[in-house]
Amino acid sequence: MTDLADVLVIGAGASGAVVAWALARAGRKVVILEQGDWIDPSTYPQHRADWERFRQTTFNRDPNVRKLPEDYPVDVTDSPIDPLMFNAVGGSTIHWTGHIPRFRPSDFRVKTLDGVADDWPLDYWELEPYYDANDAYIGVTGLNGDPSNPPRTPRTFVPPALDATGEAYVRGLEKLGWHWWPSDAALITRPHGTGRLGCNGCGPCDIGCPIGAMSSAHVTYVPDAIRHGATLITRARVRELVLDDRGLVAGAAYYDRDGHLQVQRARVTVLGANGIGTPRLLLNSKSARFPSGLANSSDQVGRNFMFHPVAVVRGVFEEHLNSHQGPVGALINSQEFYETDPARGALRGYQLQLVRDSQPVGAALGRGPGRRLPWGKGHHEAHRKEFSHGLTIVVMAEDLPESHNRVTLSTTNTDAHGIPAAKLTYTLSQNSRALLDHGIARATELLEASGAHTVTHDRLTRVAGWHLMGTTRMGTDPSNSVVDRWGRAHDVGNLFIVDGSIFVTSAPVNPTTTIQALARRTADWLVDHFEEVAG
Amino acid sequence: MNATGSRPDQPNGTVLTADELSLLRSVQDRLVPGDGQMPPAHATGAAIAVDTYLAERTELRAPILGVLRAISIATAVHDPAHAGFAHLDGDVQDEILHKVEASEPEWFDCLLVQTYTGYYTDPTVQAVIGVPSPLQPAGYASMMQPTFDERRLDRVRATARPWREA
Ligand SMILES: Cc1cc2nc3c(=O)[nH]c(=O)nc-3n(C[C@H](O)[C@H](O)[C@H](O)COP(=O)(O)OP(=O)(O)OC[C@H]3O[C@@H](n4cnc5c(N)ncnc54)[C@H](O)[C@@H]3O)c2cc1C
Repeated sequence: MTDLADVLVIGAGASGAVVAWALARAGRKVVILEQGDWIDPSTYPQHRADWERFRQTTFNRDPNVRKLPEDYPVDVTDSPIDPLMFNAVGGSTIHWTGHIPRFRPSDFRVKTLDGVADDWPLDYWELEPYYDANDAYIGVTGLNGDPSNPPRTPRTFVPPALDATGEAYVRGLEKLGWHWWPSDAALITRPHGTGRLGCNGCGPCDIGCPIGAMSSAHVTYVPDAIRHGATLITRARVRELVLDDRGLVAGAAYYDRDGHLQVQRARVTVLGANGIGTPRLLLNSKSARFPSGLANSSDQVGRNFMFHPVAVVRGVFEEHLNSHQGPVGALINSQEFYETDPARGALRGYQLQLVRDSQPVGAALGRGPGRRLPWGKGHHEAHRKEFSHGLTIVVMAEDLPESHNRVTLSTTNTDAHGIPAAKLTYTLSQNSRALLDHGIARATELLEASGAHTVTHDRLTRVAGWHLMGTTRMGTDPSNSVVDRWGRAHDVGNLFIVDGSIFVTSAPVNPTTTIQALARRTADWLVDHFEEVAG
Repeated sequence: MNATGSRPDQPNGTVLTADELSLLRSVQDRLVPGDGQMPPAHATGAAIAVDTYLAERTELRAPILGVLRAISIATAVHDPAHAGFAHLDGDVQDEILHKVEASEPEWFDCLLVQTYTGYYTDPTVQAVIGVPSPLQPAGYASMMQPTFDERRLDRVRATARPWREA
């Protein structure tokens, strides 16, 4: 049994790190339990000639492929999309590409505007100052002034000039007269913060940034939280939350790095274990008071799981585009098809994330079996035509919450500590299918307008479950939601959730800036109301 | 393979026998032959790379050893004189590989993936293609100058649909 903390944070990823930082800064005694370890910057593959092979192994985005001791398996036999994540200090922001568009005001009013899903119990304007504060703190490259989004504070750094890749996209976008804007990128182009270097465009941000240029949690909030006095315990895998006799969370039982079960006690517990890890933990925290899992009197824990279903559309060009150079995921965003248009045969919308293309191995391998470049005599010619001649559009659709899409506990599989694995049951809805079909046609049109001679697509990309949302949703009614507008569990007054689980709807944009803005807002509230809620 | 990812010249593998390694080299030369400045696979250490992957990833052993075995058997069927794959005509070698690709598609795909991975992560190949090897610390720093020309957005500013007020 360890000392009593004021605040126990579970997960040192994008969301947990924010709360740990804010509460430690406010003078609270904070303990963070993280099942992974620090990644030593010198071990990032980009320091090695053979870096690209690590995509297939230890730096793969899929825990079911990596199978590291700190990973837990996710049963995906009933899902057409694989959930992706990383379990280390920094969480999945070790692997993210830092594309950080914000939600729009309409995304918080889905029920009112479109008659589906639910409205959020807060609006854009309430979140806006937290978006701005988060951007300024982590360091963001971009331009304010996009007429299709509310104004925002000046970005920390101006984006680079359009390179050949950007010019090719813009050629098509201008021809078609569509919306586009340089992406807001959680990335710095000049030194910012402690020990972080400006981006040198090496390319594969999705296997981690070795120089701290990506504004990921392990180079921003986590070290600052520690500087403010937070204690981070790594290789600490939480098994379950423990209740006191008042029905409040007394702390967490976790396995330490030697495999011994420990209990960390705390007056307030905050979950930031992501849209799969958080429901997994709650469902595994069963007690007489909560026989179907902690904070689950509504039976909503694990339900309403949302991905952003993705269709990748790729064009090949005669011209050499240098499209392997530069930060892979954060270049240009087209929000031409963002808001609902009934003519599309679907509600809500999608974004076109216009990204860079493959590296040498990636170009040879194509998008999976059957799409490898031919072997033999024609191989080099094919590689010359593909590598650095491609543009890749990520059609990212808004997914709507559906009760049957859910995370449960596996009855057959466990992690290395014997804790039940997560099981994901997910079906792509007709609405999401229709959005993707529309998006595939539009992305094809754009690539053709840009001059592609060949365009191919996936109808649904399997290895694209980057965004995990909705499994402990926010709401005002405790009978159909898990947390209130501050992320506080309806059933347990000293339990808070701050990761993507609390999303009511998903919007058609990458979620992490919204996750962090919400986490900052919850943290501020908690600083002000600590004694009211603490156990 | 050492810590920086470059490859010492090694006659034997750690997992593959000398015979298997030699067969793999000949097979890889058909998969990725030389072409202009691009070296043939055997000149790059792609075979040793595959041996390293086999040492690190036991799950690759069954498919890679399986496909090599399948190629040996197909070679013996084709050539009862047992001259061995390396001594056959290129066209005949390709014919054998196509047969094995059709009969053992998953194993063959695994061989192709690991061969392409070994080949394109070789510093000599990276030098010909023109990618930094390794990527850090140089990257492509010059492209990151903060010089975006905002006039490029004039048309969007004038015509884009505003967000929906809510
Ligand atoms: C390849 C990739 C690319 C991405 N690109 C983008 C992008 O461009 N833009 C964007 O907005 N988002 C992107 N994302 C998503 C983004 O990374 C996540 O939205 C974000 O990290 C989620 O934050 P989180 O705090 O909810 O969870 P995470 O960052 O996943 O952190 C959760 C942490 O909790 C820990 N944990 C879980 N369970 C336990 C337990 N039982 N005990 C102890 N610790 C535990 C985990 O180890 C992990 O470190 C990407 C993700 C991936 C994988």
